[in-house]
Amino acid sequence: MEAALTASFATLTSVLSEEQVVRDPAACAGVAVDGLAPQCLVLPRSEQEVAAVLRFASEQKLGVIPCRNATKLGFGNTPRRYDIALSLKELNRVWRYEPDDLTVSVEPGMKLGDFQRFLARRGLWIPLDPPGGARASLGGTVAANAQGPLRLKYGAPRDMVLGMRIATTEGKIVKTGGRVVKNVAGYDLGKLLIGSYGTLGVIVEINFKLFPLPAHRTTWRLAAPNLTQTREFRRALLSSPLGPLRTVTMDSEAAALVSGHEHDQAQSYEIRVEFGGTETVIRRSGEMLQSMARALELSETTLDGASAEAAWDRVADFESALSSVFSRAVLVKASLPISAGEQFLELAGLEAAKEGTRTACLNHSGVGIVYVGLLTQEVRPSLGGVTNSLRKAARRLGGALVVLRSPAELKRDIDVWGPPGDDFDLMRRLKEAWDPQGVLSPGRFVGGL
Amino acid sequence: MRQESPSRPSGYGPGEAPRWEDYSKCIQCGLCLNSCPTYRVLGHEMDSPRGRIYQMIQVERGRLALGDSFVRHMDLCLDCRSCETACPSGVHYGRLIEAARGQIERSYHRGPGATFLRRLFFRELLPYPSRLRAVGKLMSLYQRSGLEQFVLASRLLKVLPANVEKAARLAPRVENPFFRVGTVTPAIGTRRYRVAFLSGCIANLAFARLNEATVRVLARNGCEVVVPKDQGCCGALCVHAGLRDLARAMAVRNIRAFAREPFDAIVTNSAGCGSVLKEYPGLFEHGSQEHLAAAELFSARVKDVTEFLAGAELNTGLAPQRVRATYQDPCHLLHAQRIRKAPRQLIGAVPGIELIEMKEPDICCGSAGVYNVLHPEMAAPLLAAKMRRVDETGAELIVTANTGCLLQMRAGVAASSNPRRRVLHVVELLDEAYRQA
Amino acid sequence: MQEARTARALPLDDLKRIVGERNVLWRAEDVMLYEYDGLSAHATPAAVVFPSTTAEVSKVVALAVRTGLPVVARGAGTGLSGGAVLTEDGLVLGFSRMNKILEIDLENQRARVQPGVVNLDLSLAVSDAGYYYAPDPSSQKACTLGGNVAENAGGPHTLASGVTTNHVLGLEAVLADGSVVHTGSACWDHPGYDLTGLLTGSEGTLAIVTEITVRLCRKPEAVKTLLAIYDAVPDATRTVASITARGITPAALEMMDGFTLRAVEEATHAGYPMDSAAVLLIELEGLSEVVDEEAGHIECACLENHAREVRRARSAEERDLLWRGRKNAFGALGRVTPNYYVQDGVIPRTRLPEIMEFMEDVGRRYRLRLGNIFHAGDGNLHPLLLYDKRDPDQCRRVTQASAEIIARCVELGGSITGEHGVGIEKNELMPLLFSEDDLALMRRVKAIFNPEGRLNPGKLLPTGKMCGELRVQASAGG
Repeated sequence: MEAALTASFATLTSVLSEEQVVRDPAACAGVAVDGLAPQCLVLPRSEQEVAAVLRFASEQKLGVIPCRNATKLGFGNTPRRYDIALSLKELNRVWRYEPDDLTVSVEPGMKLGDFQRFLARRGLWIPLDPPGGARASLGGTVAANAQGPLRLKYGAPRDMVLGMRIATTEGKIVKTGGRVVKNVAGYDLGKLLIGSYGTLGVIVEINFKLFPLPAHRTTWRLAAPNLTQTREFRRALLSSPLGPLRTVTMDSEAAALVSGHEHDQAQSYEIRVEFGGTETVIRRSGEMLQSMARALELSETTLDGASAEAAWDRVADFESALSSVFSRAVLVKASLPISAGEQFLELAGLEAAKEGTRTACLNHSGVGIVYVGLLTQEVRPSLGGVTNSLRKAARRLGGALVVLRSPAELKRDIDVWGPPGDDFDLMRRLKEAWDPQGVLSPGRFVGGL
Repeated sequence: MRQESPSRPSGYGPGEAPRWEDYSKCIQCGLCLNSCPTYRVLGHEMDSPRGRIYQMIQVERGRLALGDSFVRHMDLCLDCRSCETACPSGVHYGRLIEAARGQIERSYHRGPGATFLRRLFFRELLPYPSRLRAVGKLMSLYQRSGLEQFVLASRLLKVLPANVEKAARLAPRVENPFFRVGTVTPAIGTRRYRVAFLSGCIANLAFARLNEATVRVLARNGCEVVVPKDQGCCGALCVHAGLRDLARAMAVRNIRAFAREPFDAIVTNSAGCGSVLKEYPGLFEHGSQEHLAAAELFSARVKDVTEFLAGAELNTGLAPQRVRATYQDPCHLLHAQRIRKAPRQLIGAVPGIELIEMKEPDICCGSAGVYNVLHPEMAAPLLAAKMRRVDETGAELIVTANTGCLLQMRAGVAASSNPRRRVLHVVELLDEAYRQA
Repeated sequence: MQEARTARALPLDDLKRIVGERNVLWRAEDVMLYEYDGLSAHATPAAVVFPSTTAEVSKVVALAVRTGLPVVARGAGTGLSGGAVLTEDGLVLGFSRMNKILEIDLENQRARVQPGVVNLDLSLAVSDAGYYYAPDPSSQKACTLGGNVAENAGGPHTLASGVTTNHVLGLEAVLADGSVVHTGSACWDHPGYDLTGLLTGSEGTLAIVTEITVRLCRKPEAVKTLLAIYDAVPDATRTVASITARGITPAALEMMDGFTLRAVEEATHAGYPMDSAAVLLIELEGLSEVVDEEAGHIECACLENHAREVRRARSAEERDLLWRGRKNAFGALGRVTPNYYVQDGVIPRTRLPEIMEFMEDVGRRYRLRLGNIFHAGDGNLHPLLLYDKRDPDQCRRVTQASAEIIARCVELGGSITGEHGVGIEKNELMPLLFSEDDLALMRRVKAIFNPEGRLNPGKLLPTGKMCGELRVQASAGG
């Protein structure tokens, strides 16, 4: 088996040059998934090379996982097989940048932070604050439809991607969508790829719609004594004419993780709201926010520019903040009706307490996405029970729950994605159509796709 | 691209028929659909303006017979012309439906019962003010003697077709004494205008008080009001029914009656009448130049009473009315005459009144002339929907500007959870406010 | 009188059993009313069925497919690419009876509706509470949300707020075998492939949508509408880029050329200047002081680009009037020509001056009058080609001129359709945009949902029966 594989990797070097196929065990261990390291790490430099690798893998029936910075590599089920780590690191060029049209074509290996710096020179940005923050790659962000609290104002990658080029497992490059902001020609196959976690094809170029950077931004911090107050504030904020860029609510543990030091007020909640726009927007928003805070008797302060930006990046990269302190932590993400966020926070605390565990909860309260971290230094089988209870709660509230991070040994006992719905058969057949050999991230997605 | 050659002979008979110049303007975009009351209720393309035009075209092309199906869908149209307001292409739908109905009237046999009733009403009754008065007197007797209550309660009418009973229940209250024509009312204060008032036919019996109020309000606004004696029915009901020859005869008579002197305006308080009066020239397009010219002269002077008052300097001696009101646009004022602002402006001129716009004030209430009598199954859901829109506003007073709408809305109020709500014509509201001042 | 039909067995009794006798139309004089939509007339359906529940839709679809009858779903039939008409003998599923708003949940900013709900009726239902449904196709007074989902409808205000696909959270749909699936959810994220996103814009060729969960938006505090008047078209097109360059995203940014606006003015008396070469209609939404401020910046941008005058609507009434002019613009041209053909190309917005020049040239070469109405802010063009369909030569010239314009849009990096859809109008043009590999993948996806091709056959993908031709509509609006 091993010998046969070695022989076939030799064929791979007929497609890629020697130095693009890394078989160094240390390098491979760096992109391990749930303790499983690939046979090799390949570094294609063009879309054609990506396609060639996929065709090769298809022919050899090998498992391929696309990656870049490994910020989201822990998401998903343990792979059924994992032979090749397909790094898109070398694909990080910008094509066709049209700042006046507010469009750009960019390769997936570009890091979000680098991309933002590039765009900022012309006063533009791509309003994404996904997990992984500035380190996240554009390809990974799109493949996971990853978004943070900015979704409130700007939407998710699915709302900003105009078109893509995709390498398929047949070794072809196909195009979806286009480069213009309005386009309804043909099936929107791009939507299938966005959020497919690399299970259908590999994104090799993305056309984004860009946005002007707000001229001014202010972040407000509010302290709330209980969830009733945070709920009232959320209602007031969202039904006001203010259009905040983003808002989150954190319990004290989450606030402590994000700010990097012990939180002063135990048993309380911190709300953050960011506004952006002209000075007038900032002033009006500030006034209205202060009067909302007064009405609810919440204390408020502002964060200044640079520190605010860093603070939001830590909010986006909640997972790193969590895992740097609790290396064995379990992190789940619930997608809920906006109105159910506070209730879920409460339930999460209670369920975890039953198992003697504390939680760090981060509610993207404008969009109904709640992250719950189970703060633990050792793996206990009972944590699986907690995630199952949380999933039941999320479903009861009309939502869904996925496990974003979990120690590999626990993954065997828990369902990462939750039970699929009545549309699963279609998903299965779509997967078969795109990836008949099952080479892309095998077994990692919903229902073991 | 479909070839446009008509392969079969036209299904229309001689005389006026829907014309290419009119129906070719329809681009089948469908923007009219949701503005059409019958489409809203039935959800069938056949009962939409676009569908009706398509059917007219198919008859022209010989693909559809001028038969039962066609007639049913043309009959069901309220001729509210809401679709004209919705139409981006400027299709004169009213002209098309009226021409189609003219064809039906000439070439389609409705069966003996319907033919007899139509003949009786349109040809033997409407054109003759004296006969109308006689019927009015009988009706009055019937309504006041208690006989009506007896008949309605007795289920006697159940032996007749269902429509007759429903019609009996919707019959207007005859108002004694009837409105007198052939009068001249002097202006109160300085005379600024001399206007003629077209008082209507049935309205003289059933809306006598409204007509009197109209004259009083005009007089208070510096008008000397002449009510010509020889006037008669405007012909609106005939035009809507496709009886164009009859309508022409009525038009000729009115043009003559009002041509005696150059009045500053010919005023009407009925939107249905007003829209036809303004469209008299359309009746003579194929006739003599002389008639056409006279009709044009006549129509140019016709003004709805709200249009006239809003355009004059309104006497503001109005007593405050502390009431929440909502306004229902009469179809033939809004869609046929494009008058939207004037009535609202007049209501707004009454101090203290709180005007809350209902949603969809531009959708027909189901009255449409005698439509509610002929098609109660369609009129009822339209009225129910309208009353829900009224309820949403919390208004205690419904204001409108047309006689048919008044009747229909009053029927709606009577059947509603709040039967004490009032329904007034704009001039009745003004009249009350003047009299209390 | 009876039209000859190719006789595929019509299971009329079964249909009547499923939806009830009165909800089936099958007489020639009735079904002929369902042979057209906003594009033009095509095949006459064998029957039109009006279901009132998802279960009925499911049974009808299963029956139709079993008997080999094609099925097309129809909302109001206002579409401009032939999405709601049959290309061959089959069934029309009319959704006018499935028109209920099932749930409005304002705290969660969403509503659940049946597909037959009229777009504007949803906004009307939530307007008192201060909300609205954002996508606003010009036909919004009549078109249904089911149709909007099928076509991924746009509209003038999608510049800032996105098109239909950005506002749909979840769907219930009936598949070709009659089974019912639920995609997405009522929340903002849902694990699994984004089938909601795939079905939106699939033009009824993958599934028949029976329930839709949409997002509702909060109404802005203030709205300001400006009308910038120009003596030269290039000045207007250049202004578009300089507005975006100032970092302002208007809620809507529309352009009309002088020829069009004269027709519009005659029809609506909106107060458009009769002697100008072009106007921009610009709308701003947001906090009131901010909107005022932005209006100032936009005024500068317009004047710097030699606008003759910039007017601001002073009241809601003036604003409505300006919009009525714009929304009725297509039809207004119907007053000056027996027929017109409306195109729906897209280009990157900075290429507006170029395409304008090109279209002028096309008009000259083909001896055709063109009216121009654009969603300028997002580069979505609606040139109207005026003609008289009784003249075969004019028809030919319109088809060729349109094809040239569309091809040029693609060359400039744009698309063949921005919001009207591909349907039967442009399916043969798909190879302009997509390679054989791209199309093969689309076919493979279609085969999963609609293996026998019974759902809306002959649409969206090239049939290969015509070679790269445009199918011109008789006339259009929207």
